[in-house]
Amino acid sequence: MPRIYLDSNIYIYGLHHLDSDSAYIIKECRRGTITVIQSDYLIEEVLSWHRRKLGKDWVGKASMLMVAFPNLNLIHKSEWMIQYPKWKDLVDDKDDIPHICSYFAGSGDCFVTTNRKLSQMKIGQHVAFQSPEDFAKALPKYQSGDKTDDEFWW
Amino acid sequence: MMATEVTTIRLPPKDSVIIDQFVDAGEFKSRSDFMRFAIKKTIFELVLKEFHEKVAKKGKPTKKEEEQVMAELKEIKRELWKKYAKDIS
Repeated sequence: MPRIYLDSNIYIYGLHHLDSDSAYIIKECRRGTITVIQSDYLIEEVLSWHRRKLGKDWVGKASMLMVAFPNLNLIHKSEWMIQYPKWKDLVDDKDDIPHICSYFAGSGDCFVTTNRKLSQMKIGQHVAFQSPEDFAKALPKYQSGDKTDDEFWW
Repeated sequence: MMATEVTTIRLPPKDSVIIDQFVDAGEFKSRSDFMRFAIKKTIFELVLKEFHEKVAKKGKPTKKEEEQVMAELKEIKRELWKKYAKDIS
């Protein structure tokens, strides 16, 4: 089963813009044909954004929607930090490194992001970056296993 | 093991019969297992509905919205990184 890392921007566009490519990708991931890699850093980032923009009442709800994937690989900081020395010099923005390290710790096949700057860094030679538009188009290639019609799986 | 609370619910007998049929067929381990699934599913659907109705917008994000989100995330990442970087030797 393919393994993907969705950047924080994908969760935000996906949860907040119903007709976006990101929303389509998240919906497909909820059907269980793709393994989603997440990290503690990623979750904290997305939930912090919700706390700031919408208030604390929405944080729990956003959290529930964010982790609602049948095939989820959660990477703890102790796992991604091991990767840090190997990749730190290939990423210009240090605060993006935890995402890159989590992608490698989770053996990702693809890293979906709208952050073009990230893919233009040296790390771009080692990470299979894709925009949500391109990934949404390529989704049938990535999917495996049986799809259900139900977005809910749990 | 995750902490649990005991809750008693009243069901019409016909619903209990149907639940038992699912349990007997091996779809669920027990009535409790069925109820946990049903409650989680309902919570998920209600949260998703609430999100769609009160928070989410139709359409795709505009360029301006994308740039704004990226700037907001950058600020959050900077703060988070300060916190996490302490643990990196």
